[in-house]
Amino acid sequence: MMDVRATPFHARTAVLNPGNAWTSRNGFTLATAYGDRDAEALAARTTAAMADISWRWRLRLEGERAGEFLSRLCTKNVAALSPGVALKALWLSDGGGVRGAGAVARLGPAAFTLYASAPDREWIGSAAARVGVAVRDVSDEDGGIALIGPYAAQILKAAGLDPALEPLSFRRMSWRGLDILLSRFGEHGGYELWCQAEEATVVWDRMMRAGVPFALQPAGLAAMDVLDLEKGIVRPVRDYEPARTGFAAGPTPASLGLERLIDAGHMPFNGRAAWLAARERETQRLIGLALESQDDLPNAILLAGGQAAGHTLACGFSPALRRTVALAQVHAGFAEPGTEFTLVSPAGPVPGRGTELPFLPDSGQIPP
Amino acid sequence: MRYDACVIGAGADGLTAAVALARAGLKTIVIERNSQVGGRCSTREFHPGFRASPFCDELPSIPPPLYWSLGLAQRGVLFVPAPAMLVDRDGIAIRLSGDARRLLAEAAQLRQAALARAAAEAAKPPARRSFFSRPAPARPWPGEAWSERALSDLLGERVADSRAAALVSAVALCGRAADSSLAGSALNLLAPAMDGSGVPMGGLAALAAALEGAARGAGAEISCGLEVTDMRRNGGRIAGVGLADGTQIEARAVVSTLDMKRTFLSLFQWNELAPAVAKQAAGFRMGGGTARVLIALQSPPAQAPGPERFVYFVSGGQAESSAALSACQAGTIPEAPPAAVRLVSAGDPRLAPIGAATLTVTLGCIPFRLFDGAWTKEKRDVLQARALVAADAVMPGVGTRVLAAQVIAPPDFEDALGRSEGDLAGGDITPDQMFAMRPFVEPGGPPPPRTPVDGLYLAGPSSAAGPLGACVSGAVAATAVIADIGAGRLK
Repeated sequence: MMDVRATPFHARTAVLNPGNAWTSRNGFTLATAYGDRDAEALAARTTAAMADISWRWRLRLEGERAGEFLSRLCTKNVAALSPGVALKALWLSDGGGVRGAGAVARLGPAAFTLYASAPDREWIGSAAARVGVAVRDVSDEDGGIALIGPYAAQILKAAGLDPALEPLSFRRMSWRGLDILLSRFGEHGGYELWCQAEEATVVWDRMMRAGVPFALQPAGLAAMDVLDLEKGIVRPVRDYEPARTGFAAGPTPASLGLERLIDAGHMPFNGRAAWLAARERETQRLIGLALESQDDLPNAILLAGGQAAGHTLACGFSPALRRTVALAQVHAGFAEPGTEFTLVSPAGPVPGRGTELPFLPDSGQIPP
Repeated sequence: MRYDACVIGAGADGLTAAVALARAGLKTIVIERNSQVGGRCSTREFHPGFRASPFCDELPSIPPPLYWSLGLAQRGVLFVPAPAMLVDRDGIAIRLSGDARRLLAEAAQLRQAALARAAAEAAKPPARRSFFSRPAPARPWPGEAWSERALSDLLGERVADSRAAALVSAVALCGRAADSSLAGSALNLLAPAMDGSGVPMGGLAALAAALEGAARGAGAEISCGLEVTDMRRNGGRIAGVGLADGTQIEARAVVSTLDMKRTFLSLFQWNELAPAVAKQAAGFRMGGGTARVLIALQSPPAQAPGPERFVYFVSGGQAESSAALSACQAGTIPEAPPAAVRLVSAGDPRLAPIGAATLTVTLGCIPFRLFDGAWTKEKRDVLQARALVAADAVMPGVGTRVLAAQVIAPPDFEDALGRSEGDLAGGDITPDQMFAMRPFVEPGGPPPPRTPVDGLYLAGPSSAAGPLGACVSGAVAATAVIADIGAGRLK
């Protein structure tokens, strides 16, 4: 039987979810939407939205060789990080396939936390044990909320928190009696607040109260998925099967649009040689697709000029773009923006046009 | 100065036309009378720290393909839907029922079909007429079946709950003075004052700014603070426009986004138009009936029947609506005009200082001309009082929080926007003034948006596509210009 558990914010999210719409992710049950998915996604672009992100996998790594180990694991030099700073990177299989993607934050000289969308506990844990690095899954120990939108900083200020924080950095602080960690690791330009599980409802209430003048809305998982789609973010399991066998050569970073998370000059990372060798032969690219359809059409075949060109990954209606959009993996020859595609669907052919990713930039600043 | 196309008016329709024309490689200029672009798409500070879009809060929908091609989302224009609720004078609220939603969805489909037909006709250059040619019989427009229906009858048949039907009627007729029991009034569902498309963040000025950016980015010139005073003609064909400062602009095509009356009755000499054309322009009926009250509140209202970001239509039933319409027709301010109350800052904190709130009230059935004289301060105070009564029905006690208010009476729409008789819909929404009847009834004549004057195209509210959606009439007019230039009709 699948183990499904509540997040530390469940007492609050359940009250706000009268439609009783829930989704399970990484073993946590989360509100799919609190009301109108599209309104929640738009709030993250126009005012502010708050989402329960406790489902994200967190792994604590501690030990003298933790930095060295993570630098070997990840596609960037984690050992060079200063405390209080994070980076985003991939970790690859020996064959150069993408096993995972996430953020690594340095808590102290010998302590790090890895944040990711999908767990990879056994493989990382067994490798870490060989070099004397202790790992602990802390996903159940604390809870996290994301605060996204042009008013995110002002809401933090109204709640009594200093929002001055660079992207990819974090700060531990005491917030009127609560120990919290404020971070900026997210993909959508906002903030994350991490707190002890037992203090989660207090954190939720304080933020919701502070957000009232700024039209803060709670956002469910469906709205967050819309934001990910608009940003062109691929998610493991939904969009690709991670390379969990040792010599799996795919999916490749380029085919998922993730090469930006690799520092080619970072010498010793796992899978580097295979990645470099495969890079020359890479034929797949990740593109955006605007579809002439009202329906979601994920995992559908794409034709271009009568030839098989690729397939769609995640697909959905974007309320900001007022259009159904999809991520698609296509042959490099069809990756040029503006390329016309025909999507093969059970209801008949659907025209689509290739576009650049992301579909939309982050929510940005409040206009004057 | 010589251009391929000159667009009169830098509102949403004019700027959209400019984007399409410039993208087609035509040398395009937009002339705007006001010092800023936008027209009704403006947002202003009406009291220190309090902002609102003075003429309307939202526009009819921009069709999704046009929204995409203009790149509006990428330019930061995001519309947040504001669902509608009906509140009666006792404060009891109701939302749209399932059958009401289905009817609105059907109206949206018919609207799309009508727009598709308008675009298709625009794309076909009209055949040159010879002495022997006979006009083909006009096919009915999509939605024309509703041209003979009364809105109240249609709603009575299709919406079981009378209060949900009243809400649909209130949404379609918001800010208008229309009789829902008259045959043909169902057309207001196809061309509603608002259709739930939503409010752009930052107000409607954000839309204007994005369109201006798109037009300039495409290569169009935009000149503000210049007024077009006359059309220049050469051999019966449009040759350009003359400006108030004496400047002459030569253009192969002119797209006017002014309304029907203003285009034909103020930009041409009386003897320049064929008598039939002048007669039709003079006989084109304007609707109007809109007034707005912008209210600065020192704090948000304590309670509302639903989420604060909703738009609340206040209605006291059929008898009250009839009385309001009768009062309007008699030139008096109704005791209880239909009202739409919206706390605009609840969904967009940019519009009020933190801890305060901005409220707008849109009133319908407000006469353009009062029987007893001009719109004096006292008359405007009456409007403000009526608006506050409506707001109080939705949000009790709101009247005690008022810091300041600004009244926009019907003549203000004409003065600021050049809309004849303050009519934002560009003419009465009636069977003889819709679809192919806009701008002219001329069987076999050039299909809209072309006009009987070669080289002159009508976009904006009085054109065939004008009342059916925001920006679309500009796109349709540009399609016609591009097609006609391509066919060698405009030298």
